[in-house]
Amino acid sequence: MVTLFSKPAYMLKEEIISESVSIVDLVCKLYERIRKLDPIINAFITLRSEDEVIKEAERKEKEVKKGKAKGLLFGIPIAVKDNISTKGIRTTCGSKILENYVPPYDASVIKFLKDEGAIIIGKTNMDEFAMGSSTETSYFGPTRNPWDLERVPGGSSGGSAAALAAGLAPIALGSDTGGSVRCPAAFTATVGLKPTYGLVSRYGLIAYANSLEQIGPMARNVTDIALLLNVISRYDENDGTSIPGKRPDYVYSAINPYDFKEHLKVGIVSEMFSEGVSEDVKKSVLRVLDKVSGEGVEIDEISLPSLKYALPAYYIIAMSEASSNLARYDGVRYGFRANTDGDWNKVYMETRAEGFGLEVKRRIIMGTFALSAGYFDQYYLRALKVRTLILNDFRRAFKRFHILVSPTMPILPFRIGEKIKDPLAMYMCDIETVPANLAGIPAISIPAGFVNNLPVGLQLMSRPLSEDLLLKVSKMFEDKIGLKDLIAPL
Amino acid sequence: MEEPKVKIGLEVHVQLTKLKTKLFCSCPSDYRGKPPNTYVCPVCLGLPGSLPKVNIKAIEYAIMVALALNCKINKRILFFRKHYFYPDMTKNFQITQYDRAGGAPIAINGYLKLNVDGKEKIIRIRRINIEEDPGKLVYPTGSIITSPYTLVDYNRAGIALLEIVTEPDIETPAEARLFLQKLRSILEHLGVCDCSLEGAVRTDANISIAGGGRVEIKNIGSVKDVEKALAYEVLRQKEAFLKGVSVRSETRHWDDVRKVTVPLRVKEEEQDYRYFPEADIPPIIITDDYIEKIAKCMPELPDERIKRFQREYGLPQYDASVLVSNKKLADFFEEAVKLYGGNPKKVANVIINDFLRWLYEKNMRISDVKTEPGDIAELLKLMDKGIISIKIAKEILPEMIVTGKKPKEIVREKGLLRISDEQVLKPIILRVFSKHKKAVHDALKDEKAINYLIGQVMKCTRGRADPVITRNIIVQLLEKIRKGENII
Amino acid sequence: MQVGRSSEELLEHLSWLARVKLTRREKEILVKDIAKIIDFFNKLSEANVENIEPTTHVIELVNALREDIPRKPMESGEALANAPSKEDNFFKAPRIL
Repeated sequence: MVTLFSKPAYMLKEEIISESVSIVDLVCKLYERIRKLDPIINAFITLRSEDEVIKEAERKEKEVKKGKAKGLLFGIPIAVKDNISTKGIRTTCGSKILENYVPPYDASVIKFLKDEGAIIIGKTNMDEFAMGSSTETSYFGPTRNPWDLERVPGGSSGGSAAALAAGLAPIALGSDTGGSVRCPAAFTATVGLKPTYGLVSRYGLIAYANSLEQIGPMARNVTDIALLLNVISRYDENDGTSIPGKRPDYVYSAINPYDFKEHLKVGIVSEMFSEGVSEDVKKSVLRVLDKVSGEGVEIDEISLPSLKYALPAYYIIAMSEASSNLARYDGVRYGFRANTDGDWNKVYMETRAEGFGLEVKRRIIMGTFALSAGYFDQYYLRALKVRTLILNDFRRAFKRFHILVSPTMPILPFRIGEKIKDPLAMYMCDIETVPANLAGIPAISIPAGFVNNLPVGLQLMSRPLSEDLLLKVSKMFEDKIGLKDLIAPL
Repeated sequence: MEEPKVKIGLEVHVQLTKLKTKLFCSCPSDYRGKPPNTYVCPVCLGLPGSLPKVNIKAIEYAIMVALALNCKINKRILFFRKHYFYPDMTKNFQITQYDRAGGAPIAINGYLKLNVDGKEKIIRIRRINIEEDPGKLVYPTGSIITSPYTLVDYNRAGIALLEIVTEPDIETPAEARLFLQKLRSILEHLGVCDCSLEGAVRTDANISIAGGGRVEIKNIGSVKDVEKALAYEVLRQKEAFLKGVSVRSETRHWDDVRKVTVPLRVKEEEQDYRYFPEADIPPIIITDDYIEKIAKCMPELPDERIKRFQREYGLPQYDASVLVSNKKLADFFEEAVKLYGGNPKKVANVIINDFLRWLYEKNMRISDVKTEPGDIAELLKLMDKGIISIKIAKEILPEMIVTGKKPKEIVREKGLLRISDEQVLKPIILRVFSKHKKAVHDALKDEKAINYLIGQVMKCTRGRADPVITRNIIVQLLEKIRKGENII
Repeated sequence: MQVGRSSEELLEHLSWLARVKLTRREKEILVKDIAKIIDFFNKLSEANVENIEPTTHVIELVNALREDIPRKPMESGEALANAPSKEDNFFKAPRIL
């Protein structure tokens, strides 16, 4: 008997329309679980009032009864990462400086979700301004991994991933700048996709590194990812970097099997299986690759030498953009303002001193460094050139392969507090995920297995704008691996 | 001792006031006079998560200006972020253009031709940038020095600006004035900017003498002020030079009240703007076809219009230049010519010699004036028909300008119709004769003295007497006196 | 790169440029971090980027332009709703001098 809170969204969708599931029941069940478990897990920063959500659920149920229910996600509750603007609902980015900021507008993806009937239940915890890989830098405290409460759920979209793994929501939104959707997916045995840069509108996504980030769908299975992507991936004229054109039906692609007229060529990137990756993780991933190889699937190795520069290039670019994107927080138009006398320089310095956490300050300082006079050419400009090298390497790889695979994370989920004092050790966690952001290509993490009861994720990547193929292959792997719709035993 | 060489460069910030929306968002652009913070949106307010989207017409207008200034237009342009913290900046960076990491301003290497004392002089244009305007700061006590806090209105934030930078080819304050006048005329003729709007054109000037320190004078409003500020600065620097004191490179501010330049109180640190490409705005590719399409539809530019005025209306070059120096004036002139239907030179004369003079005296601009081109045409027609004299016409013009009343109205109200009726004139002339017996006596001998008598008649009739008829009557009467006949 | 006086001066300069005041404790931590992170950044000096163009935009989109058609602006109440300090519909900012 599948419990209500563990059902996948694509199933709930049908059952809501056929009235075998009541939206009100579903919502109540989730809120009951949230009340019981979230005080420990701390997945949510802001929860919409249960009364309000039940009223919305009731209204939607009436529509269903009248036969007027329209929308790809009608009645489906969704948890949204707290760096995505929601009109009238506090949006904090996990930071004190936006602790009481209430956006006067909805992000475009939120509009799309509402248009398709989804019910936003709350905003999830995250590393402050998305800067982190463990959801430990949040002003609102760390989120715990439902699979092991002493460990991190990954970051920066740790709240969304934990909500999924604890059965507090069927689908969620995260954002991915250097792995922030895929990392927590890997650490919580859920699925997270970073779309091609430009596929999903960033209008309303509170920026950290705007040339690298995308809003990404998160769920407990690949089909739900495809469903959510169908809704959020529309072209948006408000975003100058939004790619025009109609998107394919990603659900259709995912559930229709790969047409094996041509062998599926899967590439293993040697640089992504090197010494940085723990043996446990390597073994787990290679075992999976054994399972999927065989009829019609060719696995081979390829070297992308520029990837050894990916992590420093990523951090130079991300930190530089962060120093710029966070310059606006000065307490004049919104947000926290320090209670101090003085001229505007003094007030700005105190406001930002008190409002930002240490990791954010660290990245702003280093980003300012990389852009400053005398260092710009050597650091920022050089990083942009290395980015070109990485783009070229991936283009070369996709001439040979349909899909590239790697572990999502180089290590198993670590303990809370274990890496937070060593920033470079933390940055090393991103080694597998940042290349996809630098190249703008789509990348997904699906559960590969468990080691010592701790989740391990498999990452798949494909060429730009090929999410239909990526999801199709991911579904195929998911079927072969047999790990989906997993909820931690809490 | 040889006059030290003066080098002046100008940086002019021009608002593209004719755009209907701001540069990066769809907020309406007519913000002047609106209540504070009512012409804003998430984008120009820089709210978290907002993204800029470039106004296509801003690119078109920038290209038009670039063509009018004979620039080379860059085919692939990027926008950059220029970082500095200030309360009028909603993002604490300005989106502008730069020339690093593959970036390029929209146009470079142009020129503008000036007519300086009859000789042609070329002022080179270094570059044209497209960028956004910041918001406006208001000081509650009226002064930046004494205000305990600052009020900010972001209605202006995000308005499209062109930054036009010259090479230091300008050598005198007068040349700077000529440059700015011509630039403004070009912008008005292109229809991209209404230069008379408050704050629509702001100038920074850079000046150095004999290779000495470069002084920047920031944010000067009117063309007059630019000339004054530069004149003051040239004097200040020349005096220093003659004394052997070296001039410091610094930034100064034009104090319009005391009419001096003063060093900026705030220490101008080495500004590190940390320019880098704006990733939210993809590159803009400008094709040759697109430029050609715009070039074909360009409106008539001032130089062309001056030549046409000379050709079509037979005006001398000087007169044509004066009229075309201000587009509104030139339009006014052409409309008046159309409505008048007579000799355009007459219209030009009235406008240049009388109309403009009165505008200057009453400190009005043509955009303030209620007088319409038809009124000037009517005035001329009244003179042509002999209903009023030239003297009367010159008298009622200032009233027309100030009140906006039609000439016929004023003539009627003040009873200024020309007197050409002999029956009316004769008694007046006789009265004058009896008052000015000596003059009559003189006039009998000397014809020139008749003018004095005519003058007296004019005085009596407040200029309404028809001078020709008056003269005839006087001559007749004098003849009668000579013959000893009775003149009454 | 050595941790020395120059690291501290650099941090002071960056802290000012970025308008982020640091506590003494934070300065102690960050001065060490800067050195390590710059070392980490310096790995890029091994990359051969001769004749390589920088990538400023990762997708091949160009000319994302908007028509010059006005839209209704925000309600002024909304614009100022999050302002920590306001007066008469103005945002109230600290003094300049």
